[in-house]
Amino acid sequence: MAKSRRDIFTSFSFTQGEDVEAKVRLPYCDDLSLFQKYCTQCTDKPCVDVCEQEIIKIDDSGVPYLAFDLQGCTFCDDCIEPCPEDFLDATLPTIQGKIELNILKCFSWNQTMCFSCKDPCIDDAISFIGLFRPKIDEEKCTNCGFCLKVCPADAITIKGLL
Amino acid sequence: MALNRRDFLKSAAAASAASAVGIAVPSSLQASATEAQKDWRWDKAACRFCGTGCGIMLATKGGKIVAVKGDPAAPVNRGLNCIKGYFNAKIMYGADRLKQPLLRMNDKGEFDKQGQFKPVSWKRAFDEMEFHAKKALKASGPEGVAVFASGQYTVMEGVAAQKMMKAGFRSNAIDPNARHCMASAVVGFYQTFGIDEPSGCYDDIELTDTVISWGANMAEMHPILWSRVTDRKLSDPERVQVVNLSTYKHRTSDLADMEIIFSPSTDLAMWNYVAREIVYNHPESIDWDFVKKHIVFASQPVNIGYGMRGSDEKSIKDGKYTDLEMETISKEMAKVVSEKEGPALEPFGYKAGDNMEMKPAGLKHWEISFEEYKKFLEPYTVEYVAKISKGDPDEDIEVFKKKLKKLADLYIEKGRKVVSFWTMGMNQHTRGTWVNTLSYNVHFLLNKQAKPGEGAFSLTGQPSACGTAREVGTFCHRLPADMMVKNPKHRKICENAWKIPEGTLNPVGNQHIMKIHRDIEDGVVKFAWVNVCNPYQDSASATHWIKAAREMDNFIVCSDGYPGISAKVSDLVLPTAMIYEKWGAYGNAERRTQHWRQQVLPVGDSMSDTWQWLEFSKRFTIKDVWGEQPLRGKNKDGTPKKLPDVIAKAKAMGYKEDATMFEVLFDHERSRAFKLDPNDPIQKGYDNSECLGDSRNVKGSDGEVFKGYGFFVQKYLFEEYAAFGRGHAHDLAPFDVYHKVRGLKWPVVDGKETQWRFNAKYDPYAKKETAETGNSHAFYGGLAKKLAQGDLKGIKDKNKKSLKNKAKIFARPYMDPPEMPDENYDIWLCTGRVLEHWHSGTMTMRVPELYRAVPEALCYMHPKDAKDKGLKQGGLCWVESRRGKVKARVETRGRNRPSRGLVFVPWFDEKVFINKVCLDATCPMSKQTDYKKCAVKIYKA
Repeated sequence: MAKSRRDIFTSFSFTQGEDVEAKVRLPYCDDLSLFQKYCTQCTDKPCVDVCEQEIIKIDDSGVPYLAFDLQGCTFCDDCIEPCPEDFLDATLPTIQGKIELNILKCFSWNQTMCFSCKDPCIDDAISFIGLFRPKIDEEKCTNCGFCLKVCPADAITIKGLL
Repeated sequence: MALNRRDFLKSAAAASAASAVGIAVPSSLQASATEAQKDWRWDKAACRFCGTGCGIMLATKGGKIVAVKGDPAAPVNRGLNCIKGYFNAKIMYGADRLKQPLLRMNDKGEFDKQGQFKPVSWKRAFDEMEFHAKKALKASGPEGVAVFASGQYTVMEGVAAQKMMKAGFRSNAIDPNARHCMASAVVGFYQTFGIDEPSGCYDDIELTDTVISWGANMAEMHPILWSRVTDRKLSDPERVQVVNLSTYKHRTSDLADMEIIFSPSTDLAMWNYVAREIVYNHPESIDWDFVKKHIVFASQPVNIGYGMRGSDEKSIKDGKYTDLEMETISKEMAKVVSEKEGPALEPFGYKAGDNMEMKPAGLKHWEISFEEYKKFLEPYTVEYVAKISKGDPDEDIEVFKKKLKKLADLYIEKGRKVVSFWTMGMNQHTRGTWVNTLSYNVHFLLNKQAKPGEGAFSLTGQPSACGTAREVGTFCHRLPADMMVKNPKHRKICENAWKIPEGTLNPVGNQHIMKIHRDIEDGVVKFAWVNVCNPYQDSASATHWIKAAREMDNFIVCSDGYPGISAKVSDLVLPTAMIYEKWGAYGNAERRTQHWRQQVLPVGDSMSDTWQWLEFSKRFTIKDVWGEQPLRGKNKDGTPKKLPDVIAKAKAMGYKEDATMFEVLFDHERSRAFKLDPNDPIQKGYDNSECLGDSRNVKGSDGEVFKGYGFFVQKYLFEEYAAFGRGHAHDLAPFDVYHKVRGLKWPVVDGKETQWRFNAKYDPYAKKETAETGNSHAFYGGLAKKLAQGDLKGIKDKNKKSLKNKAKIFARPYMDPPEMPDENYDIWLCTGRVLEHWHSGTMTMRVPELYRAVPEALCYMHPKDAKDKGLKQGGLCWVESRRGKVKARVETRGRNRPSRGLVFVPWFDEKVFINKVCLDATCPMSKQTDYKKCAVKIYKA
């Protein structure tokens, strides 16, 4: 729950500047420069095929990223084993990214009861004030991405970190 | 839910359902929005979906609805909306909207039951309907023509359908899907109060201290009401207590102070436990003055079966049911009393191990003494009830006992106001009528009923289950305003009002919705018309009914906006105007009637159900339908039952025998008095496709462009119907008034609505009845208000005693449902809805955003059950009963979290056709199907 009212508002996207959009990289690694370093050298991209959720895609520079438009990450670890560069670490099951909930788009912030995003959140990271105004607790959120596809308003986004 | 009062108050107006939520929108955005909206026309309407009855505002531009918002002036929702309500407009614009009538035809262009659907004209459609309806009348009499009607009809559509069926065809085989939704509540109201519909209203939420939900997932199914409950809870978190009783954990538990997970059907035992606590352990809490003045006690037979088919029915004799199915159906004839129900049935003369022969008893009941009632309560000790009711095998029984005790304490606590809510959990129940009446028992004993903030309140499922199905009376046994087809006086009142000959109306009304399906399977009903419902997806034991419709000699017509399962099963599909493409009115769960105007023209060649009924009525003359007509069965003297020839009487009234039913029932001097007037502020600027025709120039049932009826047909139908209730405690306001206000709760007397019925302070009818006695209440409903006298087991004195202005407390025991988990089918199946989808999903599954939110029905189950059965989260499983099986995806962490031993599968998804698995057992009194309980096995697919 929010510490103050200002905290609620500053955490949402319309207060942000227009950043260049960064892709969300795979979990199990907290040094994002390693993806640039290793993945651009890899030709097979075996991580793409092992992902049972089929969310690993390859960007223009040849680096894998996560696409949350249909599914999310289950942290199944399957992408670690085939990686030829061996830089993914199963003890770091988080995804580096910034999740944002756009309150101008979100139904629940606009007098319309909806809690579709709450359903898939097994980390219980989305709390509602009463039945309205959901807020994502970034401490609890793993950026797994499952809430994106169910949002009928397309109000949740996860941006990668640069 | 992680919240406390400080957080709530700190976050400004958050969650305050009463206030409009003000979000700081950048001023540039605000300005461009205003510019874009400047030529939008805003008008009020009622929401299409649930029984809550929210008010919405619709914006129309260029003949299309472009925006929807919650109506800030609507007392029900105060500007809020739920996610379905937000998409009220989008439901009309799905890609596969039906635009032309479709008939199954062969290559030669003839009707062929095995043929493919091909477009036909409206004229051809009505030609086929006329031919097949006449054929059915000839083969089976009026009982051969049936209608699957709806709790989603507008009031006017219900009136049109009812008049043509009951007065025209003299057939009572019209029964709504509301039978599946509210029938147990209705019989509960009839038996307890003598009149239908709740005593309280939604204002109770803000006035109560305690909300106890019995078998209702309000957070998803009545979201806006739940927002009001939440608001009330947060406004005084210490005082206000919320309890959720359910057979599985769901969203409503999030807010609850206490959650009670109980074993299916044992809600009866828990209600009786609370009553026993009052009578045995807290007798001082009984308001004897109230009880003596207002209450009598009653009993009834208990060996009444489960509303399944009987051994003497044709399709059973013909072997259409498998041995596996018969394992369950045999309980309709007899069963052995179980250890679980034995103690509860002992006061009625049965004990565990006894053979119980079932005998249909209808609605029979008789008066008993308080001492007999007390004797009936004796078995419901905390030990017995906890033992049979505890629904979570992993919960400590001592913890469960403490919860039961706290539940009773909340009811009993002096000065604590309590509201009990329920919906399908108590209605879709093989003892649904019983458990409904048990709720009033507790409230009556404590004098906590029909008072502000206090009372047992049945929440309705459908938007006009109250307003149309119940109040108009589109049930097989009903006539408008709580009148019954069985009652000769009531028939006469209707015959007089409708200007039809005495003796026209059929006194036999037994073709409830499951009976219509069964009559089709038995070959009796040969013409059936589906109106505003989806009976081939929403009826349990679905395989039987689909097979009967597709493979037997009959003609099924389906009016719909989209090709759902019922349309696909039918022989003829009629493209039908949807909600805001017609003038209409709905009545919600708190007796609030709300009207709206036609906002846009229907899509394609669609026309409203009212128009379809009126055009159909043009095809039948007095000669066709009012001669002598056969009925099934025999009179007491052995002669075959029949309806008299009333043609001579009709002629004596001035009708010609070749007058059509359209002229007799709908188009006459009385209806033409309702004028169309472009300057009438109600009509000005709005389309009326039925009355004026419209710019689409749809070719009608005679092949010519339809130019409109030339009179205000919706107003006529409403006013003619409303006249039945005025002066009889069912008073509706004039048509025009409803277009100026945000709905009114009937009875509307002297322009004022009624909040709490039967209470002399608030209800003018109760005030009148108590003028002499000075009593606080008068339960003035007139049905079943004379009773014979007896004890728990039977009648001792047949002389009937009047119980004018009194209500009843019933002695009704816990009994097992007919099918329970066993070695082969080891898990309970419960079905229901989800927030995002409405009923069978025909409309909401076509809204991309709602589809995206919940694209398929999942099988919610406990992780340990999944593990034990070798199932993976997200993997596929089979859900199989004695009747059929479906494949669904396993969900162990979703919004519903069953305990071990139960799975929940929603029914909105036609690809997960769960009603093939469900059992068509019903409450034998209300005939409402129990979709909440059957036994299944689950295995990997």
